[in-house]
Order: sequence, then C-alpha cells, then structure tokens
Amino acid sequence: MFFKITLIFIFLFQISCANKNEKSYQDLYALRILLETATKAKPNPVATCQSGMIAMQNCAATAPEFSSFTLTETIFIGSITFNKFLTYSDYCNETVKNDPYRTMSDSLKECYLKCDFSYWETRKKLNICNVSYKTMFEGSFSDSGTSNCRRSCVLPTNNTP
Amino acid sequence: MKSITTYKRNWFLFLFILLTLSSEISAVAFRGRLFSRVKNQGEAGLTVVIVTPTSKIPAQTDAEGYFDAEVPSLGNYTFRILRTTGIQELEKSITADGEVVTIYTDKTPKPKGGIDVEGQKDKTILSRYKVRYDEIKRMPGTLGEALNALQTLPGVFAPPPFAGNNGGCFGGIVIRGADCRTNTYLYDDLPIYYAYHFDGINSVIHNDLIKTIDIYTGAYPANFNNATGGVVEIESNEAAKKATGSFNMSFLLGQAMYQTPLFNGKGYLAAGGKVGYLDKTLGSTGLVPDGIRLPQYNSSNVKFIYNFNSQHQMSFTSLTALDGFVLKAPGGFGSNDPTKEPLAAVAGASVSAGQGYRTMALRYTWTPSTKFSNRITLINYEPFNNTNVQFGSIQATFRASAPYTGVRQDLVWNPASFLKIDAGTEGRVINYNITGFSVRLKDPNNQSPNPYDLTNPAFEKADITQQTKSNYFNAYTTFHFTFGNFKFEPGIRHDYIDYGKQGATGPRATISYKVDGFLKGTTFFGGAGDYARFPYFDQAISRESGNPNIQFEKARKYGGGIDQQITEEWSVKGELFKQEFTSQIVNDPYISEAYGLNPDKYQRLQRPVVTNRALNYSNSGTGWSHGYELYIKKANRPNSKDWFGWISYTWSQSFRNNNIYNADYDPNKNRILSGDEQRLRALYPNSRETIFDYDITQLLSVVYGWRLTEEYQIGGRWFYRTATPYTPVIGDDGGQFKNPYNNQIYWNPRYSTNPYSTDYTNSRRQAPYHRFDIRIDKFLSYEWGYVNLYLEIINMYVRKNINGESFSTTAPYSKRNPEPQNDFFTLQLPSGMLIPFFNVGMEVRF
Repeated sequence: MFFKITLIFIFLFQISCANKNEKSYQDLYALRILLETATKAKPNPVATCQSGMIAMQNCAATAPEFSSFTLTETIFIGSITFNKFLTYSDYCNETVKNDPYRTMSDSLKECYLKCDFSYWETRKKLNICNVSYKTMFEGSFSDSGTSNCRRSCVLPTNNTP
Repeated sequence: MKSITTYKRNWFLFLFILLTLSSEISAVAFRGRLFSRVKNQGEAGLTVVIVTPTSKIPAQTDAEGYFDAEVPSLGNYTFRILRTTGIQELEKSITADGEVVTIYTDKTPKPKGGIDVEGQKDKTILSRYKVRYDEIKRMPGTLGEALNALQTLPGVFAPPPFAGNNGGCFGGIVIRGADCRTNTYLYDDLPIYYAYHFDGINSVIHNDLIKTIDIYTGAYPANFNNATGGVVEIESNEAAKKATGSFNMSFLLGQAMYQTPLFNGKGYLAAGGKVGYLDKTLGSTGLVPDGIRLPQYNSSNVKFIYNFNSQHQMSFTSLTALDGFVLKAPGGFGSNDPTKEPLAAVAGASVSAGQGYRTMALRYTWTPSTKFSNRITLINYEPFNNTNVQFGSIQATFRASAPYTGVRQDLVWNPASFLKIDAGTEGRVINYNITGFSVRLKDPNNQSPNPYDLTNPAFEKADITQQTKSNYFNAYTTFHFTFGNFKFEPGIRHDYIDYGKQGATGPRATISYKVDGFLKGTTFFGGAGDYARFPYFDQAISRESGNPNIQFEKARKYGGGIDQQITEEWSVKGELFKQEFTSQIVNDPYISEAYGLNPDKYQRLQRPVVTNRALNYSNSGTGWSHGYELYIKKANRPNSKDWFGWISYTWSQSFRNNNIYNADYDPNKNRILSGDEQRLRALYPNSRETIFDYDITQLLSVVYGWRLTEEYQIGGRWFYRTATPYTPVIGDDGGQFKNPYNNQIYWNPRYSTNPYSTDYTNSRRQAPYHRFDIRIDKFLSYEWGYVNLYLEIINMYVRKNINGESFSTTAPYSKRNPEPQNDFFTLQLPSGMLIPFFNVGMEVRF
C-alpha cells in the first residue's frame, strides 16, 4: 500500500512538472495511463460476479416465477443452474473459468460482469422487475446499454463514462 | 545466350561512346547586372564579354541591365563591356553558383551611410542541385516535362504509382529516403499543392515559364519551410525582350504559352496553360476498360510584373490546377467470365475523385539600394480534394480544403563586405475544412466487414463536416559570412501554430572552404540542421477526427562532401548524408485524451461525453536514412552546339518504425484484454523497424544531350534503380463475401502478421528497374520562329520492368495470383509482342 501511494505521488509530481514544462501530450498521456493503472484496485471478477448475482436475485424476486415465495441464494442459484451450484461463490468461481470468460483477462472479466450487475441494478431502480425472469435474462443480452457497456470494456478509446 | 551477351555489350558500348564523344566543359551559372550609379539604373542593351583563360563568353543585357552567363569555375573574371564609345574592362569575382553579381559601370561618391550593391539570396553548395531549362527541356524519357528531369539527380526518384503501404504517391518524388508527401514545391517562392497531374507524367507548370529549378535534397536554408524531405524551387522568367509564344501538342496533352514585354519594357506578362486529353486519345483506342474515364486535367500559370522604376516593383501571380478521375464499373458481366472482366472486382462501383489548388499572390519588391531589398507578398492559397464513392454499402461524398491567407516579408541586406543577411517573417490565417459525409464501420470490432451486404450493412454514413481554424507565424534569418574562400552560413527559423500552441525552432548551418590549386579548384562543404513540417492539409490536425495536439514532424539532417572542378566544363561532386526523422505522424488506435465530446455526432444526444476520447493520430513514428551520392557533370554553354550530360549515383538506406503496440505480435495475443489493459500495454510499443516503403539501395542515371546540327538534336537517358520493397500476399480470407451486382466472390488478400517472418512488411523486392530512353528533335526554322517535331521512345530495349505484385480479388490466392505488376512503359500488343512506349509531339514557337 505504501509503495502504491508513493507511486501515485511520484506520478502526480511528474504530471505537475510536465504541465509546467509544456511536455508532450504523449508524455502526459503515458502518465495518465500509469496513474489510472496505479490507482485501480486489483480486479476481482469472482466478487463482482457475486454482486451481480445478488442484484439479479433482488430483481428476480419480484418476477412472476419467484414472487410467490421468499427467494434465497440457494433457491435462486439452484433453480437457474438446475441445482448444479448451491452458492454464488461456487457458481462464480466456476463461471469465470469457462466460456465466454475463459480467454479474458481478469480485468475484462470484471468489467463484463459489472455490466451485468449494472443491468440488474438498473432494472431494480426503474422498477421493471415484475416481468418474467426469462424475459429479463434474455434482455441482458439484447439490451443496448449492456452491449455498449461491454463494448466499452474492450475498446481502448471512446469509452462510456 | 550469345546474342543476349552481344546485345548487352552493344548497349554498354553505345553508352560509352555517348559519354566520350566530347571533352569540352563548363560549370558555374550566374546572373550579372550592369548598373550605373550615376543614372541609378541598370544599363540596358549592352554586350558584355567575360574573358576566361581559354575563351571569351558573350552576353547581352536586358532592359534592366541583367544578363545570364556561365563561367568555367568560381573565381575572378574580367568583364569587357562593349560601348559605342569604346571598351570598358571591369574585374569581378564569381563566388557561388547561381549568384547574382552587380557590376558598377561608374563611380559616384557614395552619400554618407550609403550602401553598396548585391542582388538576391546566396545559394548554398550543400545538397543543392540546379538544372537549367535548356538542359532539361528536351530530355528523353520526360515526355516533354522539364520537371521530370529532377528524377535524374542524385537521391531523387519517382516511385511507381500505388507503391508503398499508404496508397501510393501519385506524382510525388522521393528525396533521400524521405516520404514523398513531405517535400515542399515552390514556384517563385509561392506554394503549389502538387507538382504533377493525376497521370504522374505532366507537371502543373508550363515548361516555357521555367527558368531554373533548384532542388535541395538535404540541409536546406532557413528561408524555406515545412519540409522534412526536400525543397523544389522553381524560378520563372522575369522579363522578355520581345513577345513570344509557343504551342505544343502531343499524344498526352496540349499546352500554350505567351509572354510579352509591356509598357515600354517596364512591364512583363506571361501566361501559360495545359489541358490533358488522355481520355480522348488513349481513351478512344479501346485499350481502356469500359467505365473508366481517364484523368482529365488542366492547369494555368499567369504572371504580371510592373517596374515603377529601379526601386519599386509590383507583381501578380496566379497558379491553378484541377484534376479529375471517374470510374463507373458496369453492374454485370459482358463476357460471362468474371475472371476476364477487368472491373469484375468492383462491379457496380462508382467513384469520382478530384484535387486541385489555386495560388494567388500580389508581391511588392522595394530595392532602395544595391545593398538592401525587401519583398512583401500577400498570398491566398487553397488546396482541395473532392471524393465521391459509392460501392456496396460504402458511400462517401466530401470536399476537404485547407485554404490560407497570409502576408510574408523577405529582406536581403549587405551590411558589410564579408556579411550578407537574409531575414523574413510570415503570418497566415489557416483553415482545415471538410464538408460532407464519409463512411465508417458500424462495429469497430468487425475485422472482416462485408462491403456488399446491403440488407444489414457493415458500414454507415457519418457526417464529417468540420472546420478547424488557426493562425500560423514564422520568422527566419540567415547570416552569410564570407572570408576569402571560407564561407560560414548559420541560420535559424521558428514556426508557430497557435491552434495547438506548437512551435518548432530549427537552427541550421553550412560551412564551405575552397582550395585553389588542384585542377580548377576544390570545395569542401558540410552542414546540418533541424527541420520541421506541420501537416496543414491533413485529418491528423482536425479537432473532430484527429488530434488537436499534434506536433510538428521533425528531421535532423547532416551532410558533407567535396566539389571538384576538374576542367572548365567537367565537375565532380560527392556527398555523404544522414537524416533522422522523429515525431512522425502515424495512425495510433490507443492515444486519447481523458474525456471529451463524443466524436460520433449521432450519439451525442444520448452520450455527449466519452472517456479516453480517441485522438487517432500521434507523433510516435521515427525513422532514418543515410547514404552517399556522386554527381559527375559535363556542362555546355547555353544555346551552343556542345554536348552536355551527367551521371548521378546514389547508395542509400531508409527505415521506419511507427512505435505502436500491435496485439498481433504480442506473445499473449490469445488473451483478450480490457481497454484499460490495452492502453497500458500500448505504452510499450512492440512494432519493429522495417524498410521504408520507398527505400531503394542503388540509383544510377546517365543523361546525354547533343545539338548535332541546326536541324537535329538527340538525347539519351539510361537509369537503373533497385526495386521498391513490397509486402507479399501469403493467402486469402477464403472468399467470405459476394458482390450482388455480378455474384462475384471477393477474396481478400492476407499478409504476414509475424514481424520475424521473411514475408513481413516490405520484406521483398522485385528485380531492379532499368530502362533506356531516347529523344530525337527536328527543328524547322521560319522567319516567324520555328517548329520542333519530336519523337520520344521510352524503354528502348523493352525491358519488362516490374513494379510490384498485383492481387486480383476475383480469384483465390494461387501460384498465378498475385502476379507481377508490369511498369507502364512497356506496351504489349494483342499478339503478345512487346513494344516500347513512345510519344510524338510538335512544338510551335513564334
């Protein structure tokens, strides 16, 4: 942690010096990227996946398929994986190792999973979780916001804020 | 085999004879002026005889007292002025080639603080080659274009059309391994957008309005700007003794010129124009596929000068050029065989493209004394491009232009006998405008877009209308110190663009020392400098689609060598050079600013701001070139029957590196990275330094011209060069798309992505290019002038020169696809017989 903070201060100092010396825009760009990287936490796709599953469960709880009973982690994950998994932890640990995430870096996995999390969170906020779970789940693949979010994950430029 | 050997031997024998037919010589061209201090004006209509140790060279002064002559070498000469009242002899030194020397014919006590004489800028000996109009006008292989003769000088060649990986270099020349787009072309110090029309053969300047051409191939003086390659400086005529004109028609184009003195010799008007009609001549032979309209073009040059008196001069110059090309490929097949249809790959496509420029300038020159002159020029310049493309789902219609209006001032001052100073400043208001629509990929991740899919098109139209405005300023100065035979010329210039707050300072200096004693004199010279170029007319600088922070491209040039006058006519010049290119503008898919307005205008309502806004271009590119040149010249006296010629040889190497990260070369390329990771990875470029698109190792030209009699002149030119490198096709994409207009499958070529492969970028070359051209002129003299009939035969020994590979997208990759791409100058008859390219023409001069 101490090393990281020191590194950030070094970069901030360099940016300040670079601005004063009218340094090349390319040097400023490089410092910005290094600073962004240094300030970013280590990616944890499993934790993001678990957050996404919780968001999904919260939204799905009002879907016609699950609204008649109290939806728990075990029931929800069991029902959507045909009882292959009983905890989000197990499910997520397995999911991030398989397609389509298999060839992705941890950072990209986390970004993609954040897009899913955002999809379910947005539905919940907009109060549009009372349609069938199947419709909502399929919607996560065709939703333009989620597609843009995923595209933004993999594009080096022109990203969605 | 025996016959081939004999054939080759005969050619070498012929060349040897051409070069050794005569041993007469000459070399240093200069402009003199007889000036009367008493009358405070030039002395018109006098005959001057320049006395050299072996000959007497006559010359005649014009209305302003100027005359042009050549002397065997630099040094002190006696000028014998023939007057009705007697002969006057004056001594004067010629210290530099191209110098303007003022000779005072009388002595008047100078007023206190008054100043002495001298004319215009000194020209450097370093990396400069000068050709006179009379030497190049009838040079073979140039198709009557004087400007084409530049390609016979050391370090200069015209690459084949479409050569290189950036769409080719139409009408451009490569100078010492620099990019052909980085040269500056000037006509009387005014900008011209391009030197050649679309056909790459005919220049935009009328031949008869060219007086001299200087080409600066290395470290050039501070008064020139915006070139990391070279500078081509064309000087036009400034006076005419009587009204003359010419009319010239050939297979390719027609051109006319008229020039006349006005207002009792105080004024001068010259106008010239060209019209290309290749579409009417070659286009009507049936050799061109249906749907292609060959390039149409025209250009005009007008110059008007008025001398109020010997101190004040006004001039107006107008230069224009316009080029157009149309292709409208039929939608179906005529022969039911797609592989035999020349336009099968682009069936249904419609393309029209054009480019042009307009330069207008009003210039005032003030020469209050012979030691000082100042010039102010108001310039309005507009280069433009028009593009109109419709091909499947690709549709683009836009006009791009980069007009500027500027004021420029240049002065020359001689404060002391050992010092001359050039200085100048310039201010411009520049614009970069695009109006219209371009095309863009709907999905930027789509690596293989289908251009033919009209139901679900991979491309969409994008509004690219934009305007970028800026101011540009520059200032320069050069000091020319002369101490006997020693010359030292330090200079500096600064260019500033307030748009991106970018400046570039370029110090430079040349040094030369002449040693008398060995033969006719030996001059040692050297120089170096920093040079910059800003791409005013380039999307790279656009606020909307480029990088507003883009910086000047830079080059550091070094050079040095020896110039030996062997006899009065023969000279040898050798030079070593090195050029280092930095801050070169390259496409950069990673460079971005932290946030900015969404570049996609259609999405701005929904997503007005994006992070990591793409800048698309950066100054990451680097490169270098180095080599040596040898130039052996035998000059003649203008309008004499003596022969002239030269041999130029260049050895060079040129390399480039974009310094960009390429995921294809990444050892972990199978791992898909996030945008963040890609940006970080891109800070560590992995691109490899490769041979430059226009690198040629060896370049040799042999030029010969001889006026045999009053009626006949012959000329020959042979040149040899290493072929330009190319990237071999290693396969195809399996034919994924089909053109719905003719159901033709479209095979995309595939190239190596392994930088360590022998098939990688620019890893191959074809056999060397060489050819021999001749030109025979016949002159028919009349009272009113003369008629010049000429025959030009290009590629006399019918060598099948190959420019590169041509991959047909109508067939899969195979042993026969790609096939070698032959040079334009070898014609094949339907019977299969090869014949040389020829041109016949007629010039009428009155």
